[in-house]
Amino acid sequence: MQYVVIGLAAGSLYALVALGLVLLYKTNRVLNFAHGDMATFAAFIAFTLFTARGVPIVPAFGLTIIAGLALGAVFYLGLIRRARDIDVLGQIIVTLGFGLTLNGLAALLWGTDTKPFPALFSPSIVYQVGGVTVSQLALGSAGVGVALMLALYLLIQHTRLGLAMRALSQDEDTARALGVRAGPVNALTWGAASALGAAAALMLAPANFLNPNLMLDPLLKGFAGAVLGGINSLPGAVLGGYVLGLAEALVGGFISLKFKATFAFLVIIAVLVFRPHGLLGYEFRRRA
Amino acid sequence: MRRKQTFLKVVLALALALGLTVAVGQRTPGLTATEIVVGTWAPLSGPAAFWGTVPKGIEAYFRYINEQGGIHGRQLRLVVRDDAFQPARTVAVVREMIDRVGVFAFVGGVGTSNGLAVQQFIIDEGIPWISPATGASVWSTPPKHNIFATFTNYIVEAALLTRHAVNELGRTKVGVLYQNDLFGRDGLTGVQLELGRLAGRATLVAAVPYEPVEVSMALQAQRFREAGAEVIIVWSTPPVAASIARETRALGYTPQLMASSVVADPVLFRLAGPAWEGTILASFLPLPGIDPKATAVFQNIIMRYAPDAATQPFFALAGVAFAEPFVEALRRAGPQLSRERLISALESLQNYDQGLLDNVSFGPQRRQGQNSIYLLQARDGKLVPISTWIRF
Repeated sequence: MQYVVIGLAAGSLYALVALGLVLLYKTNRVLNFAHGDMATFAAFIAFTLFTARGVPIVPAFGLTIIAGLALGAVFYLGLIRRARDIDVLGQIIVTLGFGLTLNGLAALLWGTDTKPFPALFSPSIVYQVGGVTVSQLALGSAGVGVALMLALYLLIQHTRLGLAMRALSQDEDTARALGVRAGPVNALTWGAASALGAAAALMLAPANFLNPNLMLDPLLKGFAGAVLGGINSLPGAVLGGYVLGLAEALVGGFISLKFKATFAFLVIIAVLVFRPHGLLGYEFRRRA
Repeated sequence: MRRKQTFLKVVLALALALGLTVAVGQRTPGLTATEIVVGTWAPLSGPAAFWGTVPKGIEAYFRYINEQGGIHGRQLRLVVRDDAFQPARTVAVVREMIDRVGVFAFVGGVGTSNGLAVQQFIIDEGIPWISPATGASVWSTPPKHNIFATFTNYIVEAALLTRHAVNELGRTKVGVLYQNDLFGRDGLTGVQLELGRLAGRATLVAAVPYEPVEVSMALQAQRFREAGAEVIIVWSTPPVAASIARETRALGYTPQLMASSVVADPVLFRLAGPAWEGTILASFLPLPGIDPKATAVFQNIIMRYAPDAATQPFFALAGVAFAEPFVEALRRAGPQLSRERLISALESLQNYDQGLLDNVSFGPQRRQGQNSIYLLQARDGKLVPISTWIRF
């Protein structure tokens, strides 16, 4: 049972990361390889606010989410928009380059050493619930994750902005002809995805410690979760993240820890071979 | 007459060219009358960059030696290359140091997999390599003519820790958390070796691996708890060690934690907090604040020549410790220096303890210098010695 708790806690963070990736893939058809590094950069900003500037935790985290949003928007407006006319592979390389740049910049500004990170929800405070131990961090992360997923859902399905995002992702030219302003809407979409990543980093850093490569492994796990759930399905991202977290914990707990780390990659391969559009995704058909 | 003159000029030119080529070929790379060029590699970037402090320690020691006039009139120049802890890059940078820079010897070189990637061609090139900066047993066993492992290797560290856990602490159920590579597996081997010697007085109840990219040890902690391990011997990087300490504490499970020297660094107190209290660590190095020799080296060499390395005293001092036997051998080899004379001088080191390391001895077939550790324990936020030198 303890393994289930561990798996769900991990899964909620994978789901959050996957959500950020799928949001961008669904709307912009771009796999944002800078997602992890942008999130890590935001976590470093939180660290600076808290330790160097003495900002209390909650406002520091709030400011960090806003900073993450700004970072995403700036990335879109400054680089992605200009790279619109190059092919998909080129756009992926732009994101990869941006990610590496941020990674190096973080190392330059804050050093490569591992730092302890202030926890809004503590990993050391635990509760005993019916024989299993749950940490405050696990509960808090799950709660924050669910809240953000709900917020995203409400944004996309029940606001005009969300409508504009959906329209742009379906058919950009028609949407623009109908008056949707692609620049601001896309900037906000990238900002939202980046903010989701920042939130994930803030939840991961207390247990995984802050360093420029904080999100290296979580990004890959989030990506695996997104592929599993369907790279073009937002609910799929959530489902995929949780299923991956659970499966990983159960495999690690009962079968073999040796394959726990590679399990996520085996999942990607299996999904791509047997059901490429994932659990909840759908195939893309380009109409001529 | 004209044709004969031309012929003679051509022969003379050819002879000159040949002579120059032979002369150039016979000059030892990295060695001039005034300079010795030494190469090293380390992760200065990437996930293992906290180990990048080691070359700073070597550099500090070289500068200290240079300021005193060098060795037999030669200044020591360290060439450092970043391999980001990736063996493929280690190959590239070492080739560059051999082919383009021209180094007389290698000192240090962080990373077991990294060193393995370049071991064969360092052997082939006959370049002396002193103190691979990893405790893997592979450097000294079987012995290679030009590779000298100075400090205690992981197998011996793990064996001595196990010996302490069983003989002094009376634990009978041993667990091992190990990184799934040669470094981690050496730790496991050391534990198994000692358990074999102890003939059934203790058993290995859980041998739990993890991959280098993982940090969070929640699953692994649960595994150890289920197996009932009374002591967990940790062969990992600092963040993972901090994680296993915290995760076991969070489960309300308090086995004795013991770890390799690679995590004998004060940063663990910041990362693991109170969960680190009581952990016992092996150290092949004396530490400043504990040992007067180490304090002196830290003040006079690290603080003076590499102050930005001061936040990681263990790795900084390790760099100095790796360089000391090399410099001593350079002294013994005398002014007529060559690679072979350096190797002979190294072989002449017997019970050398003028440096930070204890009892370093080499010999014609012996390439493992030190086999001692001493034990530290985390108490009240500090590492405190709980033994003197223990020899294997």
